[in-house]
Amino acid sequence: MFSSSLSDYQFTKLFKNGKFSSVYKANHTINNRVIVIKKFTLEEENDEALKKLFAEILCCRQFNHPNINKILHSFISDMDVYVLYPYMCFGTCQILLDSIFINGLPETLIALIFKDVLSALMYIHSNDFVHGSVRAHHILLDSQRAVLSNFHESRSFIKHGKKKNVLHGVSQMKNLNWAAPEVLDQNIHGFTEKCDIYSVGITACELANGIQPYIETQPTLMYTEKIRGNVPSLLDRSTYTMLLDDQGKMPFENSTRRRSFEVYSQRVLSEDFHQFAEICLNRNAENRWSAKKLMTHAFFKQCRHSSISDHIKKCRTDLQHNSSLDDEVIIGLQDEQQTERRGNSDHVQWNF
Amino acid sequence: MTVTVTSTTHAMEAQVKATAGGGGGEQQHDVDLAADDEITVLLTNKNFHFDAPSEADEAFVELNGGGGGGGGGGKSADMDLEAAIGGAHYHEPAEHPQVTWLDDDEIDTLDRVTLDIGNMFFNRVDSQDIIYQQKKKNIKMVDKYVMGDVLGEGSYGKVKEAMNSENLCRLAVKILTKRKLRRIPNGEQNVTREIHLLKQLKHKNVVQLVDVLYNDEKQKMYLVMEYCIGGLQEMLDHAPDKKMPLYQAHTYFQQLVNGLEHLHSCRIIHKDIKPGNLLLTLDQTLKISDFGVAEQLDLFAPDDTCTTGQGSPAFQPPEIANGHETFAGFKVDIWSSGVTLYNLATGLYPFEGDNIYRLLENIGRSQWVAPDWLYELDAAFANLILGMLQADPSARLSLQQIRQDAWFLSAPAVTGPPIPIPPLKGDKYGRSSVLPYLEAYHYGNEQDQEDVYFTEHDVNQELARRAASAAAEIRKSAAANAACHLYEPSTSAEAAAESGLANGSLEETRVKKKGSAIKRRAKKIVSCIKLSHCRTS
Amino acid sequence: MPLFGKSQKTPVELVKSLKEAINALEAGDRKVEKAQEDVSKNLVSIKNMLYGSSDAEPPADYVVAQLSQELYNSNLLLLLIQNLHRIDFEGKKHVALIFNNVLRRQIGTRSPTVEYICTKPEILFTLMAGYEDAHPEIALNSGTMLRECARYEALAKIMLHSDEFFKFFRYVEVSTFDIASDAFSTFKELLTRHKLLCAEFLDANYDKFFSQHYQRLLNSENYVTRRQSLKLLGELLLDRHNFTVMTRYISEPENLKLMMNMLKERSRNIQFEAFHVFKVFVANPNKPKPILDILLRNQTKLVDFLTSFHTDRSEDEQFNDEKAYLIKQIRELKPLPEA
Repeated sequence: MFSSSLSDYQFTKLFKNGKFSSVYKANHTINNRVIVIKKFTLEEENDEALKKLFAEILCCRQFNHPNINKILHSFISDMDVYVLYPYMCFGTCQILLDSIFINGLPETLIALIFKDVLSALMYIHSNDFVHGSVRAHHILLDSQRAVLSNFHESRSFIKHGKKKNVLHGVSQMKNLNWAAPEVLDQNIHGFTEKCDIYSVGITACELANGIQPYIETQPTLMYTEKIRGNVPSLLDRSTYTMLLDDQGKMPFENSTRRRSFEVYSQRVLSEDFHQFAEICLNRNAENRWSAKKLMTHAFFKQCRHSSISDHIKKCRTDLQHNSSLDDEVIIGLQDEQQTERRGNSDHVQWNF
Repeated sequence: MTVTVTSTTHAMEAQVKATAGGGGGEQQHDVDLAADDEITVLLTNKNFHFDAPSEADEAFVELNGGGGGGGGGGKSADMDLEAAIGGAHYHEPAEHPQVTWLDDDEIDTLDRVTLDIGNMFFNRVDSQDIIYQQKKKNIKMVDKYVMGDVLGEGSYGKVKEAMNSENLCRLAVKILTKRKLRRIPNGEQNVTREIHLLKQLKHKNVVQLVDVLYNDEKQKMYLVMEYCIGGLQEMLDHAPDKKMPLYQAHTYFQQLVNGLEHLHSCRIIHKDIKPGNLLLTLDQTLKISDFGVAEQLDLFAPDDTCTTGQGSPAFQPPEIANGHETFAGFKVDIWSSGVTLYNLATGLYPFEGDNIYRLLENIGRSQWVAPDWLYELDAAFANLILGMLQADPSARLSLQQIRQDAWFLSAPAVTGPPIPIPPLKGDKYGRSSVLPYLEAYHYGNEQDQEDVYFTEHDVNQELARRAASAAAEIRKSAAANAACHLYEPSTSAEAAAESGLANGSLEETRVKKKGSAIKRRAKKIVSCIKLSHCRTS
Repeated sequence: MPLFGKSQKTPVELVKSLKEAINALEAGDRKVEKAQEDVSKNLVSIKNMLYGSSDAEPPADYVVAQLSQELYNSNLLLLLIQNLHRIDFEGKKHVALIFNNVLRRQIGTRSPTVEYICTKPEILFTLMAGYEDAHPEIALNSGTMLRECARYEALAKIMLHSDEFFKFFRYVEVSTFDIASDAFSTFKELLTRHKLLCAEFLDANYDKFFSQHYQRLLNSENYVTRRQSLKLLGELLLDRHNFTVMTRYISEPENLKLMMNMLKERSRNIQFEAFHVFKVFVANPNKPKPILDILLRNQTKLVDFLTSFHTDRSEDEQFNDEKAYLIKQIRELKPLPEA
């Protein structure tokens, strides 16, 4: 279906350029299909990282679900691995939060997104896996649906034909803020798939408030807070007073923050939404509902007469000015990168 | 009085408990016993090399103690409180239990005390007269690692729990001081070699070295390693018969063989295999640890000939006990694994002796014979042990032969409950001991700065109160559970209160400030923004 | 409470039902869709019977015993594996889960499933063929099952000693990255897990394995193949169990030349892995003359090269010690005295 030859791909847009990997929009010239290509610079990865990359890809290949990002193909060219994904035109939820929905996505849009995310989690959990890093950055949107991606933290309860009840081990640094207290705690009781539900709760706050939870908090403080059962909340008229200091004053100097504060203090998020978040963020994992049950919560009633594209189209005018979602002039491959990587020892000629 | 020299500390612990149990009376007994050796008197009273956690020493400072060194009364209180704090995890016993070295701090204090025979008698002090002052849990960091409680202590130094403050990973840190290292023959060399070996090893059944830190100013070295919740020796010590069911020993033995195979593949001979050096992680994976006396063969060594053996006496094979100049290295590990396996399953040792010399003599004298009752317990098991305890190294089983052994290949029947795995007392969650320090650090302004004083009586009351509230909590969370299954809490405050209580974190409440602690938890859940502004971390 | 629930079948019935459905699938007649449905349903039931599910408890021992016995008697395992490509996506995963679970079964010292597979090695060969290009959709599932089999020495032995084993040299280089990586991890498992078996195999098949095949991997155009096979080579040579193989490998000049060339590769990772193999050639106290000659001829060049080799790895004490040792050794190299 897809070619393994780099020359059959036209790279049209660069989304992210990193030391270890870069993300592009591309065109598969053979069938003119628009896709996303993630390029991994293997030379920069040590053996551990390489192993993790294989594991992530293998894991992703296990899943076949409309709300899970699918790997279309993967191949090697020179010293890089190219992994192909479907093109999700609105990008990640994080991009939406950074660019347009500064103070959070509209509630109904969040409900629509979570309906899909929970559907994906239900499937993943029934396969005896844990996703491990549910967060806005790992949820992709197009006009039809939301899709869960990034399986580098995923783990299975089944090993060597035997099923475990709990898992142990702490996740990578970059996702700690979304991690459930029982995961951070690293105690003998371990954690179950319910840790994903907690992350859904944190993501709910992230999407509703437009801010990454605990972003300015020291990891150790974030940990002790979560252990105590203190969690972020959805900020609206009923809860914004949390932001006030002991004298009842707004502690922000920053004007952007003040504006956000005003937005929070005016808006009203539904009681169902508050409840939904509280269920997800319950300190005790057993008390959190399963993904399957959560999908029946009243919060999702508002999805009935709405769709993702409706909500995004309303802001379409804004989006049109956002270059990350538009096609650009076709760009060439980064040939310069390759010449830089040449070893410094070509000049030696052995005498055999 | 015969003492089985096992070079583990549980024998010593029994002695300690006997001494500490009553106070002055037994103190005298101790003095009589060691009357021929003045130095020993002081040492046994100071309980120097026992596995009572030195954390107990740190947490409680006597204000009204007895004379001389520790004082028996004080120690008995410490033993009780051990339960409240959480006991020692690692066992790193001294190699020669009856002769111990004073460390420099001890030596210093000695100089200050007037060694007058008149002062050598200890005043008996009643437990309830002793007043303790709770030391605050001040956070201590080494580089990016937050330090927790002491897990164990050995001749090289302490092992403390720690946490990486950036990725919150639980770890263990072995703290080595140059002074202590210099007092041990080849101390510094051993450590350098240990680090060199650990850096090469990466296997699920070998403990992982994470980082090495040096503090030149303090002349200390820190080996940061993966965290293990406890070890096999500890489990045995807590078991009623000091042994575990065969099927449980089997799972550990399989992992030991896997780890050992990896070591031998890397040409490394451990030389000190014993339950004390076999640790367990949170998910019950066995890890071989302590490479202080391990040796790595040369890449091109034609065979595994070794010349030195410095392991624990009870686990040494005949060839070392008899002082052979050279011997086969790998077979040494086989022998000690055999002794280990035998000990795990029976609680006994294949060889004993009144003292080290007798012990080594017995080991080296003749071929061990498996007792009849062992065959009755499990004939295949007895055969395997016999194979591993062959006096002649060439007749001894190799690792590959062990893999083909009938008992090794079998799945022994589950005959009853396994012996408890760590944590064995205190926190049943096995939580990080770093947590209280973090809480003190982050929420320190909650408690008043006043000092907290209390007596033994207060302590007992507190323990009783905790037990009662634990019971109450279980009832409450069961009710909360039942409620939640049908419906979510109707107000956020309820949810917060519930979730706070469902913490199960008894040990987080302080003796004094319980009231305010509960009040804090009932407060509404806090937003992420407020945290970043209101906390000065 | 009824043991199997009102609508649930007994193990015997499940296996029978599944077998019928598979046969129908294989025959490919008109009822293919219904057959697929039946296959999937039955696979789910069997999987839940073995692993338990959120609605049911894990099964009693005798249930598992019955199920396993039925599977052997009906040859269903072989049938499932032969028809893996006809089974739907979820069903394929369930086949692997069922297979891996039943594989672990143990009675006393016996592993009945392992014994059964020993009598039906086609199961292993069919799984190995799962990496062939024809059916890429079964490659990863086959790989999972193969690696589970490889944990048992009896099965690893069959696989290593088969002709099919050498096809792995092709499988590890297929164009689809994840299939190639999966094949490589199975390949590595077979060569490293059972120490004595592997050492004997490498000894006995030295020429075929190293000279004919492994050489090609090290020279592959595929970066990942080169990097992984070089690393595996290092692990194989430095494993004490493979001592004889190691001494043989480092006495062949062609191998030394290859390593010296890989030291100058474009990829720094590959240079580094090559260093770890190269050092063994130099450390050998009994270097044969051809090896010594090559080293002597390039004595100065090697010393210069190594001095400036990966100087940015200042933190790696071990590497720097080894490097210093090599430089010293090479500097002090002297030709063998004339016979």
